[in-house]
Order: sequence, then C-alpha cells, then structure tokens
Amino acid sequence: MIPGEFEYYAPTSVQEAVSLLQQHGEDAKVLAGGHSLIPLLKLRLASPPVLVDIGRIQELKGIRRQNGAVTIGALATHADIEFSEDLRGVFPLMHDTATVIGDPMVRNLGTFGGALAHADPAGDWPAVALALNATMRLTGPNGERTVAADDFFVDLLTSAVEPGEVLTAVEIPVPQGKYGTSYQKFSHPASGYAVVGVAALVQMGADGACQDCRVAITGAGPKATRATATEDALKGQQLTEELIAQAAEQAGNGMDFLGDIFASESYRAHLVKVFTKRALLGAMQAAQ
Amino acid sequence: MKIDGSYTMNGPREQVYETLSDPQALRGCLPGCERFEEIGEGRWETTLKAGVAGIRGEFTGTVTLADQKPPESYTLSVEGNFKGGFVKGVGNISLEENGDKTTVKYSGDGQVSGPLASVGQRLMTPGVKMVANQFFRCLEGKVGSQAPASAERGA
Amino acid sequence: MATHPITLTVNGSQRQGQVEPRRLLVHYLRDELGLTGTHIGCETSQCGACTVILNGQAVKSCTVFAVQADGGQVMTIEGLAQDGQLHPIQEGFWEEHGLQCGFCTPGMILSTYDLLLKNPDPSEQEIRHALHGNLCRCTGYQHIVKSVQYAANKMKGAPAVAD
Ligand SMILES: Cc1cc2nc3c(=O)[nH]c(=O)nc-3n(C[C@H](O)[C@H](O)[C@H](O)COP(=O)(O)OP(=O)(O)OC[C@H]3O[C@@H](n4cnc5c(N)ncnc54)[C@H](O)[C@@H]3O)c2cc1C
Ligand code: FES
Ligand code: FES
Repeated sequence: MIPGEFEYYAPTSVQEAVSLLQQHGEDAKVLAGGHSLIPLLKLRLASPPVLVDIGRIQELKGIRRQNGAVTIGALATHADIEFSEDLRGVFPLMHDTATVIGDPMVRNLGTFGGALAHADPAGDWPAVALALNATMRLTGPNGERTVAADDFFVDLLTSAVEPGEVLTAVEIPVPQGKYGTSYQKFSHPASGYAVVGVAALVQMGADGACQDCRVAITGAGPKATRATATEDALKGQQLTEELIAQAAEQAGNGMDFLGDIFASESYRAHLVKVFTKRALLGAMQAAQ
Repeated sequence: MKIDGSYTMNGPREQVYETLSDPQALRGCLPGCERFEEIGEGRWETTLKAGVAGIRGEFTGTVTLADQKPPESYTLSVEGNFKGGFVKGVGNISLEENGDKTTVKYSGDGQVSGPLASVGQRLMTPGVKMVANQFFRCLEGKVGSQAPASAERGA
Repeated sequence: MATHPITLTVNGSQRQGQVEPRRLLVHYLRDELGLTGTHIGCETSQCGACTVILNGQAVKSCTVFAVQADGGQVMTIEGLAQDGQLHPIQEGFWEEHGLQCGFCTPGMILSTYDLLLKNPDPSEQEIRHALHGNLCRCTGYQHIVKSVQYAANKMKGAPAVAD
C-alpha cells in the first residue's frame, strides 16, 4: 500500500507553514502525526498533491500552565499528555483519555491538534475539548484567530480549520474552586475508537451545589456534541446519584445517532445515557 | 450497509417530486457531477467526484430511476466503481406531506467492496448521510424554480 | 517526482539515502537498508509487526514516511543484541517461549523496549495494555507476558540497557 505522489515540505516555523499552504492553496494538506492522514493516503482515499509537514515546528510543541489556563501545543502527542504529571494534576481526565487512545505506538506519534483538526466522529479529544470549554488558536494568512470548542466541530471530519490555516495551540481554562472531570469510553474491541465516549466537567459552588457542568458526547453521531439538556438539569442543584441518573436520561436528545454493524442507532442512544451517567458520577466524586 | 434518513423541505409534494425526478435538477445537485448522460429511459451514466472533507473519490457508474409513482415515491439505484472499490445500492425515496412542507424519506441497502469497505466502514454511513443531506439541501433550492421544458438559471 | 536526501542513524550507524517523500519508513528499512527483521503484517497501522524505535519511542514504521524521520535515530530488532549477546528482552522471549512463528516478535520486543523505558516495573495489566498495539496469532499472549516479566526482572538487576 503505497500512497500517491506528493510534494513534501518541512517548514520550521508557523509563518513558513502558512505561506506554503497559501502558495499551494487547495492542493496542500497539513501533516502532523500522520496517524489519521497516512492511513487515508495509503488507501488513496485522499491524494493531496502537496503535504506540509508541521512536525518540525518547535513552537507547536509542549504543554504549559500559566494564568489559570493550560496551553497545549498542537503537536503535543497523546503520549506527551499521558505522561504529563502537571496536566494530570489539573485535569485527571486528560491522562485517562490519552491512555485509551489507540495503542502506545499511535500515542507516541498522534497529536492532540491533529485529532481535533481531523474531527473524527469517534475521536476522543473532541469530547474532552468541548467538556473543558477549550479555545483553539489558529494562524492563517490573515493572522491569528481563536475559535471556541463549541464552534469548532462543524460536521463529520470537518472542523473550523480553514484551508491555509494551522491549528497552533489549545487553551483550556482551569476552573476555580472545587471541580472534577471524567472521561468514560466504550471502545470498539477491534479498532479501539469510541463507540460512545462521554467527557464531563462538574464545578461546585461554595454552597455545595453544582455551579456549572459541561457534558460532551463523541462516537454516537457525526460529530462531538454537548448534552445541554443534561447540563441544564444539573446546574444549581445539589447533586445526588438519582438526580444524575435522571439528567443522564436526557443525554443525546435530538441527536442524529450513527448505526453500524457493531452498534445500532438505538444501542448507541442507550450507551450515551449509561456513559453520561458514569462520566457525571466520576466527575462528581472527583469534585468532592 | 443499510442507510436511512429523512429531509424536510419547503414546498408542496407535487413540486418536490418534480424536482427530485428532474434530470436537470439531479445533475446540478449530484455532488461533483462531471458527466450525466442519458443511456435509456430513466438511466444515466455519470461521473461524480464526491467526498467528505479531504476524503474524495471519483465514482463512475450508472444511476437509475424506476418505479416512479408521482408524487409519492420512486426507487433510485446506483452501481459502479470508485477508487476505493465497487458499490451497488438500491434506495427507496418516498415523499410525505408535512403541512406546507414535504418530508423526503430515503432508505437503502448497499454493498461496498474494496479497501474502503474494509477500513473506511466506520465512516461510511455518516459519510453517505452527509452527502445525502448536501444533495437534498441543493435540491430544496430548486423546488418550484423549475419551469419544465424551459431554460432555467444554472446551479 | 523529486526525491529528498535523508540521513538517519540506524542501529548506531549513519545511513544516507535519497527517497521519494511517499516512501514509508518500513520500506526504506527493509528494501533499501536490507533490515528485514522489521516485518510488514497488516500495512494498515493495526498489527504492530513493523514497530521500530524512533528517537527513543516505539512507532509503527508503516505509518511514518522516511522523510519524517530525517535526522533521527532508528533502532530496529537487528540493533538490539550487543556483541552477539542477546538483549534481556530477547532472552526473555527465548526463555519463556514468547514466540511460535516469530512473525510478531520483533514488534513485540520493541514495544516491550518502549514499555520498560517508561515503566521498569510493570504489572501484568500494564504489560497487556502496553502490548495492545501488537497482534500475535500464535501464542495467545500468555507467554509473551511472561517473557516481558522475565526481561523486567533481569533488567532491574542488571545495569541499564544500551540505547
Ligand atoms: C491504529 C489507530 C488507532 C487509533 N485509535 C484512536 C482512538 O482510539 N481514539 C482517537 O481519538 N484516535 C485514534 N486514532 C487516531 C489518532 O489519534 C490520530 O493521531 C489523530 O486522530 C490525528 O492526529 P495526527 O497528529 O496523527 O494528525 P494527521 O493524521 O497528521 O492529520 C489529520 C488531519 O488533521 C489535519 N491537521 C493535523 N494537524 C493540524 C494542525 N495543527 N493544523 C491544521 N490541520 C491539522 C491534517 O491536515 C489532516 O487532515 C487512531 C489511529 C490509529 C492509526
Ligand atoms: S504493518 Fe504496520 S502496523 Fe501492521
Ligand atoms: S508468534 Fe506467530 S504471530 Fe506471534
């Protein structure tokens, strides 16, 4: 399985990458860790004439904590996230999610930014980015812009990254006070991708009630989606197991569920409720 | 691979049916349609460049409209080759009145072979749905705009 | 199509080549450098037979272009034994019958290498999790896990491994 021919560029700065992308227009595609793109190239399901390999751009690497936020470079690999003690201290779900992505070799090369830009309907990071209210930083020919996670996942395999743009970093605000996070995934036994995955963030107020909560679902529909009805049912309430179970029943309301030979639409709809409950219970416990 | 879904569009059922069975409209809305030649009653040979995001395939084959029961239903079959394999499918399209709108329901069964089938399966159903939605959204724009047998503005 | 010059350090020695950008690392290693210990199983990033160590980490060489590895350090299964002396991981697979046909073995061994660098004292569960991306159609994995445990014990006692 040999990909079609392409021209290859390996810029060392974001500016250089952006001008290469601009120069080649529609023909060019960004190559990051290659763990979604190279399989497609090998099957010749995609044959971009030009690849711009951003893997050598140092400024896209690394994980930093500053001013109440965590900034994850687009090129941080799943393994970088898995083994970042600092990040694990702030958001345990980042570590937990990384460990259930693919296998160690996939995690050593696949990148956080690549997974978000690719917007795979069964990818794990899109749900986490939505639940943690992440902000994506993009650089394009017209300079920098930011896109909230809520606006980033547009459709199947379609994110807000425009042709010519590079996703440079992802900023995640660290909530104040008591909060907890959890990611619960039902993995496909062969591919390892999420049949259903649910990420939850629960933030407690001084009165012990749920001050804010965000729940996001992946794997079940064409793109990662928030479970807003579930969130609304919990905000301002004293959380109990019963209340969470009730709220989780509303997860997936109005969603366009996927069905395939492994999991039918109604099975996925059911899993969404079960995994929403688990993720919320996990986040609630972590917040206490 | 089974696929079903629905799309509700503005316009009365008769008009929607007319658009959905009008070769000119189909030609304008089939994604990336490069060729659409009639080879018999309700049968066309076509070349399409369809895809989702960066995944694009060129499809060459035949499209057949049959069992036409205006304004209720017809069947649509496709058969042909694309880079990732071979595809063959039959779909039933039915139209239901929904106030002043029309709900178009589609349900089909298809076989896909080749590398796309073995590796891309996970993404195939949602991919087909996405393309179907684009197709119907495009057709919706044409409902009522046809003056049959007279020139109309291009897509 | 234009070719690109690349320089790799493979099993300690510098190798220079001229490759088409679409050349996969596994094909470069096998077809141009003759290092056929790196196997090709699935070609679709699933089986781990093509695993090599790139810049200190296990990677599937069927899912990396040779140009991406330019300037890097590669270790294949051929680079593991030193002076005719089996590496403790190889010894473990020998002693504990961690292979039957041997097709998956180079990949298993190099994934184990990655694991033991990160976690010198893994539990059984951690071993199984770490070998998740390596498929074996013969052994049923039981003996592979034992082989890894053997290697971990041996390496804890012995001085650090060469890399
Ligand atoms: C065997 C296997 C198992 C896997 N299992 C899982 C799993 O369980 N869960 C999961 O979530 N994922 C899984 N993956 C996918 C993996 O996480 C990929 O690494 C990830 O989806 C894409 O990241 P990448 O860096 O490899 O991107 P690439 O493959 O390099 O790129 C993917 C797409 O994003 C674009 N892109 C990448 N980076 C940028 C950027 N910075 N700016 C703009 N555009 C960009 C590219 O142009 C391309 O279109 C698996 C992959 C494999 C091969
Ligand atoms: S050959 Fe590379 S993972 Fe199977
Ligand atoms: S020993 Fe035969 S595949 Fe593992």
